[in-house]
Amino acid sequence: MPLTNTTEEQKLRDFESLVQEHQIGLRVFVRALGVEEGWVDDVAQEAFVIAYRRLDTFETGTDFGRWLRGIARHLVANERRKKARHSRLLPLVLADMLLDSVSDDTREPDSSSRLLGAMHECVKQLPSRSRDLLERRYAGGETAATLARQLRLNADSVRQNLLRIRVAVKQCIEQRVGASKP
Amino acid sequence: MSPERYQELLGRLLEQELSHEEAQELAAALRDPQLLRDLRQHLVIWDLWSQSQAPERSSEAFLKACITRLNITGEPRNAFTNAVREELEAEFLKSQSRQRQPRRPSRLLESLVQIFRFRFAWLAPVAVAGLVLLFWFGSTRTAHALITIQGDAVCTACVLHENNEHLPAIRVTTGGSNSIYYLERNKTVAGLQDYFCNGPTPATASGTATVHLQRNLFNAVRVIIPASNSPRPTSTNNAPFFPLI
Repeated sequence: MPLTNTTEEQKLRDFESLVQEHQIGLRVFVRALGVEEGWVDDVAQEAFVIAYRRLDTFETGTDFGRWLRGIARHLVANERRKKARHSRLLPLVLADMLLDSVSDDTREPDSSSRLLGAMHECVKQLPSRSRDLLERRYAGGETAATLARQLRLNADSVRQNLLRIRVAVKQCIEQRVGASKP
Repeated sequence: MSPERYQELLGRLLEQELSHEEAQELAAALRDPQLLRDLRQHLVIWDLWSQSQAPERSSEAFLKACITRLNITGEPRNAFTNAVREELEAEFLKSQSRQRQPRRPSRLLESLVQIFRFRFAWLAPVAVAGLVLLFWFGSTRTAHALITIQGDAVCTACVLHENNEHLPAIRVTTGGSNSIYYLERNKTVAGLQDYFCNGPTPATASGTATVHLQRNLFNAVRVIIPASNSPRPTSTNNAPFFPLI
């Protein structure tokens, strides 16, 4: 979107539109870079705040999403270098691999929205118990260990159930939308 | 590594239970590009799912958090105050239709924030948020009068990208701030979804408003959308899936 008006209010309005447009894609990008589940939004918000401060350096007409992802990547790489703040990242050996393997040149957010559509369809096809488990895990924010206590089940069993569901949903998505290129 | 072991480690990673030794073991397996790709895909799709399911990760919550952080970090100086004031003004407009005496919460609020900025700057967002909550919760009991809102017809999936459910909504812009009114599905709205998906397009709706879980819900008895805004053709976008991969 064009960033032409330089008044503070207009700048904030533009910023809100940009956040709404790019937040989904940026958050999944941040997660793919190896940021821990609970810190994804924190890092993404940080990237947006930095982007806001530097809006005047953004070259109008270029890919804002790519610019934003570059900021996020810089944040995560910086986090990687600061040993004291490793808690926001996955184990370093994995974070390093993910950081190296994810490109800023991605096609979002339209593909994110289509992906989510396929997910909804696939989740609908799950047995009700599986859907319930997913809901507790993601809408309720419960971990497998907590769920196990609540359901009076073994934690390993809950974890395996969740993984089976995840694998099934992912396969369903691939069938629905076609697997990505290697 | 056997596929079963990879799955086990993947499950532990997604449940944040991976030990240091297991992380090393998984990293060795991820030298296989297919497995690395599989892991990335899981990270992406389940984060996407989490965003669509967890209320605290909704698009609105995320935007509000960004605005709050802008204020905390000092830029722009009045952004948070403005955002809150405008939300309260939107609420005030609704209250007018309930035929109450006009209230001016924004001035009081702004004064409070000005005071807090100098003496207790760190407390200002907390106090303001508290006032907003009080205001919202207070309003839920009385919001049943017929009101008319003017704004843009938008779809929560196609336009707002909040989730994948194609729900009709009206986006009302007051000052520089947007308020979203989520339309309840009823016979008035039935058949109009294409216009919302084709939005944003100007619309006027009359009905009753309620607030639930900090979301403005609107039960419309009449929706007017200019007839010239006909639905656009179905998208033929066939972009590859699994972003980032």
